[in-house]
Amino acid sequence: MLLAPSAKRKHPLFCLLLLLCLFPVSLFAQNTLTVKGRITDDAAQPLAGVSVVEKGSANGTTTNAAGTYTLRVSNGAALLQISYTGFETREQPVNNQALLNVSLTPDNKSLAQVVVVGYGTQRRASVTGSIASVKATELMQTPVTNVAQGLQSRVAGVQINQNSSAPGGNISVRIRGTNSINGTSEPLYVIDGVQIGNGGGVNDISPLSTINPGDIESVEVLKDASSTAIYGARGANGVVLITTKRGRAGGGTRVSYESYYGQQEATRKIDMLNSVEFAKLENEVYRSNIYPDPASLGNGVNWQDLVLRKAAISSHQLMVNGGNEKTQFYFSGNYFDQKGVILSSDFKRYSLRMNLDHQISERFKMGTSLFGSYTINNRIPTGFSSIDGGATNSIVGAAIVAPPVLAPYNPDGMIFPFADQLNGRYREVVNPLGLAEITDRNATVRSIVNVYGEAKILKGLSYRASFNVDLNDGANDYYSPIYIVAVRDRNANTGSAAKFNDRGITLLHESILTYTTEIARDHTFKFTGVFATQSNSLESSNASAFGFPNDATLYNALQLAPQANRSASSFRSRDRLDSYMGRLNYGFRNRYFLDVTARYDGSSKFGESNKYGFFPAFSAAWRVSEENFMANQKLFSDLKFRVSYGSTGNAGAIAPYQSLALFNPTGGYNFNNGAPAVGIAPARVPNPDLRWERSVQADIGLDASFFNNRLNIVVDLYNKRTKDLLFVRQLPFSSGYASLTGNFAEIENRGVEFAADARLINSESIKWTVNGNITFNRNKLISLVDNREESVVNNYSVLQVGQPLGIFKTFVFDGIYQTGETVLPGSDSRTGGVKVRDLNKDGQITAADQIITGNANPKFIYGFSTNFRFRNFDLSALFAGVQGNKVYNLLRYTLENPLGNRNVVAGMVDRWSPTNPNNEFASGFQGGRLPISDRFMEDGSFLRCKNLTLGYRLPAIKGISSARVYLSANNLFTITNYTGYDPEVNTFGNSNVLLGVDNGVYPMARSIIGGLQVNF
Amino acid sequence: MKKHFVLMLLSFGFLFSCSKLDETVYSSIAQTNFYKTASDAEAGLTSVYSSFADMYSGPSMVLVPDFSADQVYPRPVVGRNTLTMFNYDANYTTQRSFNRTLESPLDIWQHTYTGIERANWVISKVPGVAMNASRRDQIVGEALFLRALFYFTLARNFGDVPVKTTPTLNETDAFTAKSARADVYRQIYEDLDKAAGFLPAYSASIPKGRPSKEAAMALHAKAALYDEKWDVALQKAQQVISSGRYSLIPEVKDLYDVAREAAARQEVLFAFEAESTAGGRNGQIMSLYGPRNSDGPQYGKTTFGSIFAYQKFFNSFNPLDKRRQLLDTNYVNGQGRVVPQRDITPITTEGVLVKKYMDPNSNGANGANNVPVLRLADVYLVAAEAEARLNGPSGSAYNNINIVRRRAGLGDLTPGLSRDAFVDSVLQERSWEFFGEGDRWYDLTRTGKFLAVIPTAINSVFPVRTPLAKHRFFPLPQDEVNANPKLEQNPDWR
Repeated sequence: MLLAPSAKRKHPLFCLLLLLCLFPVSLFAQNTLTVKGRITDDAAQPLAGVSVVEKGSANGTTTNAAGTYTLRVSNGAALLQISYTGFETREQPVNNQALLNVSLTPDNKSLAQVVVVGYGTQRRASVTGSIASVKATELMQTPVTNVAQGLQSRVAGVQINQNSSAPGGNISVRIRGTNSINGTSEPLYVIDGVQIGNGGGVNDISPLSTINPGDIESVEVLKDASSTAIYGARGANGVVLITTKRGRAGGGTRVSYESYYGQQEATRKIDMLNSVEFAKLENEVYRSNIYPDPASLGNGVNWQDLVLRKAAISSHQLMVNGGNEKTQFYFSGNYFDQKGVILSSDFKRYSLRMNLDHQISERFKMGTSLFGSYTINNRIPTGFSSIDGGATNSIVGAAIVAPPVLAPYNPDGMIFPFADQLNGRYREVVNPLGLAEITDRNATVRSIVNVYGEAKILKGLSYRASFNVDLNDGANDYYSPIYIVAVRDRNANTGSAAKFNDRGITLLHESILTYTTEIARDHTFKFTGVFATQSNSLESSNASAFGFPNDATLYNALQLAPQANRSASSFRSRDRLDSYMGRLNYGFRNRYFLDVTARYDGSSKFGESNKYGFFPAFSAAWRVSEENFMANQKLFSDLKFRVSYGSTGNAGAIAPYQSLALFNPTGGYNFNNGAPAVGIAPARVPNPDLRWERSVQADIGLDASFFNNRLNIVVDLYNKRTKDLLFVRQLPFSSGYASLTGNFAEIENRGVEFAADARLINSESIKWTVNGNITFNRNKLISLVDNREESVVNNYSVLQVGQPLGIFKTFVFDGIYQTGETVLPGSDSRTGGVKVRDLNKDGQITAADQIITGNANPKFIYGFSTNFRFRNFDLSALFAGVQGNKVYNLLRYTLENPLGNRNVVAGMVDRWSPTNPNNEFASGFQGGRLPISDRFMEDGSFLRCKNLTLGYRLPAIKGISSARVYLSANNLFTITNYTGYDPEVNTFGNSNVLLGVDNGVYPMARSIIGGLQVNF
Repeated sequence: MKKHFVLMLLSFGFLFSCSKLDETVYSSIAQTNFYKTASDAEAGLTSVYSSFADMYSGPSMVLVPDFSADQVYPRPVVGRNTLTMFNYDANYTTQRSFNRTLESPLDIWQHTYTGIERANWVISKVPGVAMNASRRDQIVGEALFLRALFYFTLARNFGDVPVKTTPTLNETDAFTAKSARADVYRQIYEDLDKAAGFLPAYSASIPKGRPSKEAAMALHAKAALYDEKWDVALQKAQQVISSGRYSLIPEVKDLYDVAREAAARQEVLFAFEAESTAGGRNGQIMSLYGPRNSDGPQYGKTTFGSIFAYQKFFNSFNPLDKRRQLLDTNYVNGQGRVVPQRDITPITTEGVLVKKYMDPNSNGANGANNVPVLRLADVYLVAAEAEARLNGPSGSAYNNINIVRRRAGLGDLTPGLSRDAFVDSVLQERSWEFFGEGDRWYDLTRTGKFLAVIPTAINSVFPVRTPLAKHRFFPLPQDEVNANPKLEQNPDWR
């Protein structure tokens, strides 16, 4: 049996222990004895501040920073009770040993375990909602830049997609599916009470990347309505609560240092034509002898090799943690440096944190969390979304399509613009090395500051006030140099620079009143009341100039450009959110629990007629295992049923002023041959009814633990309907406007989540745990604006009622038009061109011949991990999988189009010709197009070994309490049929409706890193 | 101190709370605060011109009709051949897929209606602004002129279209049904009659770029020609001619000389006025017509070689015709070497360059070339055609066409032509006179001649061109039809 208790396993250490126990203990009775030893966690890290008490007495001590203790016990048969928050309490017989090292097992399911919930904490046992917790060690197993990466494949119900693998790059997180169309589906992140957002386009750095994940103690993912309703109008997409490490009293000051260094490399390259093959194709496309002797050209340049590189990644973190009964502190400093696998891209972060808690008196407490980071991100252009745009604007696309016959560098070593080569024949493709010379530097200073005061007013009644500031200062510097422009194209406008500065300030105050009481010991009540008010302001300024005399000053002296070539703009916005909320937790005999939560949110961003929204939720739990009839069974150590129902909102993506009638500047016009006069015109049609999206979610859950908590499972079924979806409705242009933002559609997400963890072996020297989770989510569009059945998203994607978001609608590929075949009208093709199926048999190709050919949503997603420890060695692995989704490989669409000037995929060697009746690849044709067909629809399923780590804890060294070294491989291998760089991709970043589109984004890297963890 | 801790915390909390949730606007102007002053009125009017400029700087107003017609053709790069090949659909799928919307009927649709909405605001709000009364009237007059120009553009391109003359104040205002073409023209005449009342007669003191009373009448004449109201067309055209405010300039090629645009204003009643200075409204048409790879410095600093004239069109000119000098079969490159016709473009050995939009001092790809919208030569030819259609080829009809021919260095038109032959001659004269100015295609469609003419305008790049009857008007953009329950697609395109 897989789950055999370890005692049944036969190994030498166990036998030894058994022998010791059999020794007649009475022999040594009555003599006092000094016991020394070290207490560690299951990863052999020392634990400081652990309570070690001789059972049945007041005699006790706590461990120091190195995890060691010394305790004089009354006799050799004494029993030590060793306890520490978050770990299972252990009773250890002394058995006359003077040295007694003990390792504690983390307590995932203990009744005492506390989970963080919105505006407070709760005992795990009394939780009625669906909340998953992830610990720091799991988050940090892979070299992550941000917390979301660390959550990937760890939590059931959470789908995390790394849209771009650029350093610090864009990531999208979906908790229980996509809930919005034109709003955001990203969850709300709350760091020590401060709400922050995530978002941005595929080329943007993720805002989460400015926060050091190394400071995180734990993450709670709130999934159902009962746990998120306390966040009201911002809770509908789920909430990620992040708690950072805080100081611990006792055991002296603990200093630790963690570091890793590694190399990354792209996992895959795309095979393209070599020079010989390319030259033949060019001759065919232009029907002339451009290359008289293709065979003489050899292989030519492999441009992907030139833009891809091996890149280093490293991190250093110093942490100091300590304090006494009155004051506790945690300090950390971190430096993270990741070079990208594409030239000129990198990400660096310097961060500091100080968390301080001070007990002023028995009744008053105060504290602070101070976080500051400085992030520098050099970006390169990748991930252009337009069809064909990926090939010319993205450095990846440009490298893939660059003709192998061209030279990367001038004889003088400078980058050789394509327009300067071969008489400008290839001026419409771009030297990717030139694109890499464009500076696009983003520097962000972020400070998140929280100060709180807490007062115990009466017995059970306490008040906490907190004041938070989130300050985000961004500076984007851009310079496109003159020397990458072809000599003949350089003119008075060449060389362009821009400086964009923005400052976002969020101020948040929260007043939290908590009252806890018990009636007749059977009934427990906890009431939480919160008032919160938040203001967000954003100011930005943008200055740009072009036409520099030379490249000497980059973006640092815009005044060197002619005055007429300089322009400036600025922007400011502000919004407010006022909220009132309450929650009542009721428990009966630790068996029945009932929670009622409600929030009343008012936002300035909503329309005049909808300033306030009300969001209630109810939930209940029944701990069957506490019932008398369960008292005699051994199978379940815990069994709980949960049910919840409630309403939450999503106002996250509404920008300020969307509902108002405003006038904005338009383009100008030159009168009298003068400088352009500025025009001013209405910006939009006002919508006074604009409001939040409203989700109603029901959840049924089961938590069960078996065999004395050796196996734990959590199962949840949910159904979430989101109405009044924020939808950018197309207006007829005859109104003068393109669109109107309003609340027009409805969507449903249903699903099942299953998570399990098991301790397969739990002996002193061998520990083996496995974790796994799997999620099935089904997304369905219930209705659209004006009862429409379908709404076009773009040329290959639609919204269709009854279907999920993220479906593809295309023609159906039907081979190549062979000689003699009739080319159907409307197919924009030819003999040797691509044929698509005439589905309605009307003898022509029209839009009616497009059908739904793919769905970007997976059938299920899963993740599993295992940790194995034997003595000083540990081995762990993490796997992530996605099954049954389609990826639209738009880049391959471009790469299979032999239109001239650009390189195409290697398979095109076998393209159609009158003598080679190939049925896959079209013949060369100048300026030709391919139909948007399902030929480029690919299976996006994959199973990835995200991490494999082997660690070793060094034997004791003087001055060092413990040290571990490890070697890990990340993205070691991926099992997939996908032909692009990687199936985990989305050119459209965090879009809700365009999912799984690959137009050549930043490729995924494999990394091998070595690391060191030392505690002094 | 500690006693006051709670009080302190609570009072801090209240500092933050209890304010209203109204939005303070910082970087936009609230509707209630606009259209108060003379400069608001000017800025509002400028936004209407901006929509007009958007269509000409793209420049869809020139490329859409010219790529469809029989004078010039595009180099067939991705997505650029659909107008020439007549393989567009109501979605304009290809142009949208490959970023060719700037040269698509979509662009015309979008910018005309944006301009109309902005004009509607000016026309409804400016009369209430306290300012100099005569300038106030002119502002309204200019907005009416531009609105008429937008509707004329819509009618020429799409046939029956929605007519909307009031601003969109809320969602329900946003949906307007189609009007019959006669009603569209009725609106055009009404606007132009009012505009002519408000606008000053042409003089050198009219700010460059703004229309005169005669420009409104010239547009009226041309619209009436399309509406086949021959008498109105003739009357309005004669009014412009007899006003004596405008005259043909002696050298036709000077009309297109960037350095002589002031002199050209003697003939050009209204134009898109481009400036190549940074921040100015400039046109990229110069870069499209100039030789590939910026190889002809005469043509501009940055040019792409994207448009050429059909050899057949070049051959149609009388060699004496000065207008043929606006075409060329070779060019001088930067090294002073003459590049022969076979090397003008890699796509064909019969490349013919168009020289109407040359700007040797361009700012990169941005030229200062004005694009004529209404010229006196056009008014003469409208008068000639309208007269012939109304009264036969009379002396005055001959006189009007011959004025244009003589300026081109040609002799008078053969006397004694039949009405049909005379009208055909006028249409042919228009082709020679206005090529590259976005006009020919509409002459072919209003007369139905496109079905016969286009299949003969072919070459090795476009060997087969077969428009169908439905191509007389462009389809309404399918998105527009989808977004507007009151709007039906043109029957031919359903």
